[in-house]
Amino acid sequence: MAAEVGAQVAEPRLVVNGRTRLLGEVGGHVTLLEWLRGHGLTGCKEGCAEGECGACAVLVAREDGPGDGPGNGPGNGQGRTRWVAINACLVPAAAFDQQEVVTAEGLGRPGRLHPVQREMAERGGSQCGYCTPGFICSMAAEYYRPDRLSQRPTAVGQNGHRNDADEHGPNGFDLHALSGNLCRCTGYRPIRDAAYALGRPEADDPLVARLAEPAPAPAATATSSAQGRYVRPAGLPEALGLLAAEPDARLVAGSTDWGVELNIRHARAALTIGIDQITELREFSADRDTIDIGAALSLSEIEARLARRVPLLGEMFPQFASRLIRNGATLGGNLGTASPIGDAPPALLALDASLVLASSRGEREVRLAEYFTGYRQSVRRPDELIKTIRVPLPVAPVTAFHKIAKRRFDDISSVAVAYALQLEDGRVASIRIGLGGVAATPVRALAAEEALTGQPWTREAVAAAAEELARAGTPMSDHRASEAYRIAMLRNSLLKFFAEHEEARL
Amino acid sequence: MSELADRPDQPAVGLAVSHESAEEHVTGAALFTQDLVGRTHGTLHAWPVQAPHAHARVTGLRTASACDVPGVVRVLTAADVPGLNDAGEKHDEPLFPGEVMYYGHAICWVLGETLEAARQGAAAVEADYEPLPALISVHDAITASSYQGHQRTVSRGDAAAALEQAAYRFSGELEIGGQEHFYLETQAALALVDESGQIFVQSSTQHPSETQDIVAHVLGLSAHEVTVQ
Repeated sequence: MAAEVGAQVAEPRLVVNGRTRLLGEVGGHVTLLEWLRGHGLTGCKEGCAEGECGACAVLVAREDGPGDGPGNGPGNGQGRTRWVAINACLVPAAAFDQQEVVTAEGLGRPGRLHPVQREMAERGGSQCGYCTPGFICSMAAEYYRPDRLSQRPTAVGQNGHRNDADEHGPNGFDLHALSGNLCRCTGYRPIRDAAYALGRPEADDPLVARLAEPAPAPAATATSSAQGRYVRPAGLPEALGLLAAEPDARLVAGSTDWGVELNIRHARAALTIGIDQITELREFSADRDTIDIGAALSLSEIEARLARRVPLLGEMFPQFASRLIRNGATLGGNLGTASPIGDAPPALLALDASLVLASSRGEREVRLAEYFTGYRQSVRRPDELIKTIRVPLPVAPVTAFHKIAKRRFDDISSVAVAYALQLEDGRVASIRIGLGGVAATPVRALAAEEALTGQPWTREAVAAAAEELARAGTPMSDHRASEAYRIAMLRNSLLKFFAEHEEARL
Repeated sequence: MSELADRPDQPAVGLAVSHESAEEHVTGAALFTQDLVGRTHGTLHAWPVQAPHAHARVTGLRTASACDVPGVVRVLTAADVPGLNDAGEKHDEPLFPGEVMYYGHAICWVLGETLEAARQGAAAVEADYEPLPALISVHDAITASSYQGHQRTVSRGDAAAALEQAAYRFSGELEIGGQEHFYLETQAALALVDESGQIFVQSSTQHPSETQDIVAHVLGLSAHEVTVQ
């Protein structure tokens, strides 16, 4: 389309390690990793090509938004920048037109090591070295987190249990910053030693100086290759116009799901529309009745902006993939794919959230409970995109998110269960239970909810409802879990929720 | 404490010594096999055509449509092997198999000027298969008495009699998800024909001498004509 490649659009370019380079006609399918390696920056590696190993991690300059969530810190949103680590293997290179990227090569070089590199080298943080540059970038992002040094670990939690604070170093380093980096031979202890030994960045560190300036502004981009075009529209009306004209276009924000399709299944789209920087999709507002979350805000940004106002989401975020993924992944993407094993849908179902769907014909609001229609299908029309996720307030006082997976972090759930419970005089006034991994879509456990509503909050009533929960959905056996295991986990989840909140009846 | 446990004045043991490649690792300067590709002009990329059967006979292979894909240079099949069609050292692992032995088994390879062209070429190759019976679980294999290698028995004393006299006897089955250790570095190999016609292979292998032997017998060369690094 001639209109979108108008004369005003500058030749795509980006700044890598301080040097401006022309992006070239990359289209929609060349990943940032492929592009960097093709330009001789082979420090970032391909390990898994699906965002799980973090060998491809690089730093990107992003807006420092408002909020004080854990692991994010109080950005002031006043035109400052934050260094954010992401998986370069998943994102289209075209999305980095006019952006700034730093790789391990840009942090230091042999003989002139960056402090993060020095600690890793001196403390035995590398063996084969393949995962190391990715660890360096994740660690550097945390090293530069502005409020890291003001965050001190608190004492061991109640009953001597380890709590979240135990995963912070004495220097405030949040170990979750490394949750998206896998190492197969060095061992994590020396890597943790290096992370916990990091001091304060020097005042004359150029990457610190960069934080005080605004982040690179989003650029309207249009690039095409033999295999497809990438367009970053200037605003929402342009995006909706493009989508109306080409409903088969692929909408991409963090690209954490689409990147896997590209790399592993070799999917190709004739048109990829980058929507991650569209202002209307990046708004966040809260009043007495609702919280509106822009569909293109990253999960890390949402976590910071919510500032623990929705404990259920606060519990979900750390279990959602890894920090590297959360720095790109969006709620719009997690709901747009309509996958039955997304982590956000069970939590948002329990919160009775709604979606605002926008098209060039207007907007409509759909309850999430009525959104999913089949395996990876929803009521969203091809010309619509998810604009806003709306969470009604107040949220129920007793909530929990149980994710059953093979690893604590950086994994896909076998079963996920989210609870939002309201008790009155020792009885269940209302309960909503959202489930993932037990049917072709995320579902509400309506029979179990009904079995509990009006009942006393007792072990007997909960045990009866747990049998209902065990019959929810149509769990199947696959490589993640067997049907019998999924059913057992459903039953036990409700018993566990009761055990954790038995005192709530008082 | 003995004197031996005391630390000497100028100790050699117990000092922190960095990995010899640590500075290269942490700066991304260390080169792995895959990193050499962009430094080697004119590198061709190979993509496998993978069988969609656990066990099958390859009854037909048509590669002409792959060669029509822009960027595809040629398709390598068993007909291209000048030496021995064996990717192992036990004569039971054909490089280009006529009998597929596992799902995803590569039956031929497409060479392209780019990885993308090679991949598209592989997708264009047409292959016919005659599916054969497959044993894909341990239970199936036991039922069919199909065992790999020698069945080892470790015994001492009269176990049967001891069990017979035992106060309690338990039986059951245990399934474990055994898995080879895998390293993070992706498997890659870069092969060059040097100015004297000898083969120089850089490979992400832990067994360069076996690689040398296999490359030599596939190409019908002597081992001294192949260098693996």
